[in-house]
Amino acid sequence: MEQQFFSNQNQFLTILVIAIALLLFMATAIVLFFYFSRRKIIQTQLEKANLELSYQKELLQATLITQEEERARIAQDLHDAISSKLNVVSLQANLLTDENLTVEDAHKFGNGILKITNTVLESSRKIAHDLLPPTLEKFGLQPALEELIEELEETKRFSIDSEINIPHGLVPSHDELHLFRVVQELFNNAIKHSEATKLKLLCKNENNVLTLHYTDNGKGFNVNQSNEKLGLGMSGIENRTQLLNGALSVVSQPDSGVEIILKIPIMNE
Amino acid sequence: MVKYIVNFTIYFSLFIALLYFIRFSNKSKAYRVFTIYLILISIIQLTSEYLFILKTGHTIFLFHYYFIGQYILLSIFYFILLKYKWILWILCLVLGVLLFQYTNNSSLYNRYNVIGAVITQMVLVIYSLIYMYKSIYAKGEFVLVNIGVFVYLLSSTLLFASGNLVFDFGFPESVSRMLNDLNAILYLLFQILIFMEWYRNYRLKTA
Repeated sequence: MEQQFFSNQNQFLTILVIAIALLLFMATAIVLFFYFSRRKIIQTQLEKANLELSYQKELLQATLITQEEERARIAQDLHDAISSKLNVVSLQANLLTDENLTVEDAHKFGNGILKITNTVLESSRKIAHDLLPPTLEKFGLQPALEELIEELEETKRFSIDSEINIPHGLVPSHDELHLFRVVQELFNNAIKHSEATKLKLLCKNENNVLTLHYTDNGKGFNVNQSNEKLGLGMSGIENRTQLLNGALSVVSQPDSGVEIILKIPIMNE
Repeated sequence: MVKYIVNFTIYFSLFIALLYFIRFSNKSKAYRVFTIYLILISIIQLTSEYLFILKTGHTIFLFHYYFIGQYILLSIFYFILLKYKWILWILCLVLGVLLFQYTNNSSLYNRYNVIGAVITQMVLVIYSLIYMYKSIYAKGEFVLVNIGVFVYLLSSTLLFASGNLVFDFGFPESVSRMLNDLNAILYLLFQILIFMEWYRNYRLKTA
């Protein structure tokens, strides 16, 4: 009887210890499960953050490259159109100070100086205009875009079909500048890379969404090759689209032209 | 060997309570509530040890203070961490049930309150599980302590549940002692985690 009691007791204790060990095991398993899930989630978050960081770096680099190119272009323009001409002016002005100068020569040099300074004036106006067209600031986006199209038509390289309908004041002025730059970049690409002959630009506001629709019949490019895109200044357009909270769609293939649709929401205040 | 562990947990609990108490004033609410919990536990353990040395025999009444105090303080602790109002409602509800139990059956005072202990420990285990789930996504305070609460309360529930065997089935004193020893080992694990939490996040750092 007593022996049975002790064996029962032992059995009970064994079961109790096993049960506690099992509970402990389960508890550890659950803790480990949470621990590894946490690690995995943190790893995923880290990867995502890294990806975002590298994208931003790429963007920054593209922006810096564009900025440097722009500076180089301005420097070149200043040098070609202004500095070299002012050198000539300085030379001729120096000749004017000569004591043995005849009236005829003085007239000749004076005329020369006048002519050159006029060209320099014109050039500096043009450079300033290229940097920031006064039309945009004074009259708004629509006249500025029309002026841009006119200038492009003057090159006689393209036949341009355009329809622009943006009421003045529809877009805030800083957004107007972004939109203007986007169109300017598209036209620059058309001039530099596309070999296109026909361009089409539609700009209209429908249900508070401003749509900018650009097409050309040029040689196009491979949308999936990011290097090519960066070279074409597409990153700048993408950046500006992001700043405008807009959506950008680029459809292009080698030898089949480019179609770009930019939609931005108009905020009614 | 086990005897040493049992003794060690008693003094270690006092030590940990002091460690946490050092920076009591300039820490979060959760930290303060947890420190009070540690102090309560160490007082109960020391009293229990004192009574054991005096050989007065009855230490079981301390168990009631232990599990009810633990339930109240850890409920508040998890209420601060999780910010769910219903934790307080459950706290009131469970305390009501316990009050009903003790007023209805005064002899309960001399036994282990198995049902009460299991209910309170399981509720706390659920809170710790919820907190563990929440801390997957965000870095939170007391992650290690939370693991300790989860593991210790879950596995010790069964020990307390079988506490009355000594009374009901006439199991010898050695069984009760063995259960105590097992509990001490599990408790040591919990204490180590509490200590690690302090070491990792709250120790005095020389800048």
